[in-house]
Amino acid sequence: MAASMISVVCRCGRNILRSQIKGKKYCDERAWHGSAVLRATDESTHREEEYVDIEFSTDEFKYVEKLLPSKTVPEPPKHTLYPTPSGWVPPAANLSTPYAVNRTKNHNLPVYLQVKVGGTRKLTLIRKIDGDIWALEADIRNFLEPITGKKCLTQVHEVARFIRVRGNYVTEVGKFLIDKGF
Amino acid sequence: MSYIAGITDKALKLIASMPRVALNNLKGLPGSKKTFQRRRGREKGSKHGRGDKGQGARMTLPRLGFEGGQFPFYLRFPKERYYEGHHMKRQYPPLSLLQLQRMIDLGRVNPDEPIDLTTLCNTKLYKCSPEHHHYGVNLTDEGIDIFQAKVNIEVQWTTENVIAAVERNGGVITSRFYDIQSVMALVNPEKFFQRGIPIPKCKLPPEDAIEYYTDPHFRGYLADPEKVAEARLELAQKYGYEVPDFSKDPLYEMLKQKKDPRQIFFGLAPGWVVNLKDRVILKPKAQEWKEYYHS
Repeated sequence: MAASMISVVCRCGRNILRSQIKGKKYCDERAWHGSAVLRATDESTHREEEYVDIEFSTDEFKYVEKLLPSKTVPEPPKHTLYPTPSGWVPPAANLSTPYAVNRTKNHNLPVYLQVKVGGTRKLTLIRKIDGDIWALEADIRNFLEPITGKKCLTQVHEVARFIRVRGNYVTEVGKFLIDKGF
Repeated sequence: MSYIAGITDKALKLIASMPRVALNNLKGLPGSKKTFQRRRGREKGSKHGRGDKGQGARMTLPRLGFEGGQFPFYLRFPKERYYEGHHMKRQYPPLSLLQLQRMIDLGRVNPDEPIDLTTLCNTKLYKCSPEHHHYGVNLTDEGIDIFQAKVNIEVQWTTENVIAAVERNGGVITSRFYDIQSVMALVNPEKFFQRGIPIPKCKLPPEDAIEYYTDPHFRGYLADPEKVAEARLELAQKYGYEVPDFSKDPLYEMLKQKKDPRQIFFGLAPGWVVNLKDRVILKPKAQEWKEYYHS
């Protein structure tokens, strides 16, 4: 009786449930057609012992919300003292320089160390540069040469808006940019 | 003078009447993609690319590495078992105290809530991939001198000096084990809830990890709480700081929060199914299910 109440048919019209109960092989639904079309005529004939007795609750859903990540990067909170314990300094507002170095989406400086050729070639990369890129390059050169005592070799890529300096000067360049207020 | 439709107009009309460029009407230049040659048919048949006679034509070639009887290269040298099974070992990708402090400074992690693997993975600044045998977070001591945050943090591996650094600021650190299924749920809870399966109950650590997680010196979650308190005092004496009194702390309730050894999410018990769309939690009522998940 239960079998005749619910008819699960595949699109070729064969009754899958009936075939299963009788032990016959129906046409392999997934192989031939994809999803079956369920036509349940009477819900009370669903075999209840198959389903677990459950209760619904919304009280603890607040704990679920805490587990879901936020979709955006939050603004950093205001601190009383800078730099913060981890050494982070916010960018200064209202700067009047011919160029600007914008922060990354995680509010950090876009200064990176590039290690190439199996570790023998180290380059300092400064990205996200706005304005007069050559002026920034000159300032970086004039800043680094007295410190290092060597000639500062740079690459300026105007289209991609980056400057590369040969050597690992990430800390020095970082400090230079922070002092400028970027 | 009447205007006669020229070849240009015809071409433009043709282009205008064409369907929009889409994936179903694009093709590469002939010869740009190499196709698999089956070598059938009149031209390619007969020997089918196998040449004349010999083992190569007759499917009787010897095994790969065979050198005609000469002692082969791959057998000349003995196996060294130094790294045997290393690819299957548990790994704990590191997170330094400096990184943690930076996350707190930038508001990516809230120190007023307990911090666990989910909190760290949700920042998207720390990555833990269970498919690569990553079992959780290893808190390292880089930035130990600048670490100032007071946190209730739950890690999977750490060292004594890191524990001292956290407790010196009045924080709480626990070493907690999660089996790989639980780690998969913790690392991306949203994806896990979308699967619609009950929250798993966390398994106990394997034999080689039991020693670490029952050790009060590493603040193991299976260690005796009294011994853990003693270890706190000892560590404070060793590193030379005063043990802060928790009961007077305004964040005492938060710092006290600990998960049950079988629990993987704060506030949610194993066996529950979370329905994100309808914002509802399904809990089993049957006694045998409850007993199973509470065992």
